[in-house]
Amino acid sequence: MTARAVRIWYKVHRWTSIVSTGFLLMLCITGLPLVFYHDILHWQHADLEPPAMAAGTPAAPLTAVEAAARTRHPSLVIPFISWDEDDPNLLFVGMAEAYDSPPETFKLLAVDARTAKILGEPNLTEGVMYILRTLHVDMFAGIPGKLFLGVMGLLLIVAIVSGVVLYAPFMRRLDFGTVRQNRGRRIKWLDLHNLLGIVTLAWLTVVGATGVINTWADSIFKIWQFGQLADMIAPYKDLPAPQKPVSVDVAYQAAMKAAPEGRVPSFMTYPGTLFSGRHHYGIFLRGEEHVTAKLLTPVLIDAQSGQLTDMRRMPWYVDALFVSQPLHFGDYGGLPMKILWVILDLISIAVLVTGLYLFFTRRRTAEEQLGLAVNDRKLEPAPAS
Amino acid sequence: MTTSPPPRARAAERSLWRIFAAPILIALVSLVGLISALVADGPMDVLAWVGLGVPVAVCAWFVMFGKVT
Repeated sequence: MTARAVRIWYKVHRWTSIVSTGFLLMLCITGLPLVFYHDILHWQHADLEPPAMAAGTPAAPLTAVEAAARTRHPSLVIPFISWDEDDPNLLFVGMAEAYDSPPETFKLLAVDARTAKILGEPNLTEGVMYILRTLHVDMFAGIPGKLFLGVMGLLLIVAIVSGVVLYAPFMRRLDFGTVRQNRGRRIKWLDLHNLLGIVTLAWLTVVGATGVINTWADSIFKIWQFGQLADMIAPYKDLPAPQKPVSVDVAYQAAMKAAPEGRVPSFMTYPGTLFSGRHHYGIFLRGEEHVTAKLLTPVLIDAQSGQLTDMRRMPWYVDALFVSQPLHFGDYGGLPMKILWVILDLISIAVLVTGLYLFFTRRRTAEEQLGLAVNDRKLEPAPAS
Repeated sequence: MTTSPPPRARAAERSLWRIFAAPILIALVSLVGLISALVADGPMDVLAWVGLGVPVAVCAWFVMFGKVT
């Protein structure tokens, strides 16, 4: 690399890093407890666990679940019912002012699927975990906040790439893993920054990139809504909304009859929601294990006739979103993986802090080592590597 | 000619391949770890712990027992 190229990469690394570091530190710190988000929710809402009953106790009709929810909140409608991923006996009923109310206004009822008894109303929009999660997702600034953090994530990717490029000239005369302990704090922190950064390269790139993809969730949903969904319900576009829709059980059974082997319900939406349009129930199926559990297949049931209208796999961009979620959260390999996630997050914090220190101390250390010190600039390029 | 080599003997330059051999290996092992738990459970989870354990162990090793120069 010529000295000029090194200088440009160095500038890119410095400026993409300094712009994003504050936000990345916030994301790393709020992200630490979020690794255990689901475990903490479970622990906080232990009372919502459906009681033990004889194995194979059949599920109550969904109309009974509906009725229980309506009794609890007579003025609200039910836009969706969802099945807990771990406990098939646990249902969540979403309730709102209208079918197309914004999701953040939904109330959630936990219901025992076998007895249709309401177990409780978990409030997911209060408490420390809610604050940490919202800071991490959008800093309480909604979609713009989310997209902003996505841009910070893109800067992180550029900082990682430029950091890898600069790793070569820094390490020209050093063995892998060298941390020079006796030449002052700056040199030591520079070596630590390089070592910890290059070793966690793959993990941080994956977590950063999947985090960026997650910030696009709203747009991805919109693209699906106006793409595949609009396509599936196109023949119904000009029809009036059904006057006497079939019951939720008729729709559910029709969908499960059409469902391919090995698919279980993830959630079900009512006619009038953004998920299934005015004329259809949408039953969203998922696989039963590991990655397939993240991939959805929407089944649309005509609410007038109770017949299957269409069933398709979600398009690749929705799959990409759902696969990127576990890769960002680290919640797909048990407790040991979560602990590794926390340690790798802590190492990334160390990379950010050492980087910040290097930025604010005299630049000479790094620049000298790259052959970029001010009085060197007119000299011949560093030997090509 | 302001930059004659400093009195401290300079180590020989390493080839790009030598500089990046260890980082590439660690990145590949990490990626295997990241992906394995995604495609199957059970033994693949263990593979994931090993894969992601490698970068953590490498950091710990060099921070604690790194060569002092």
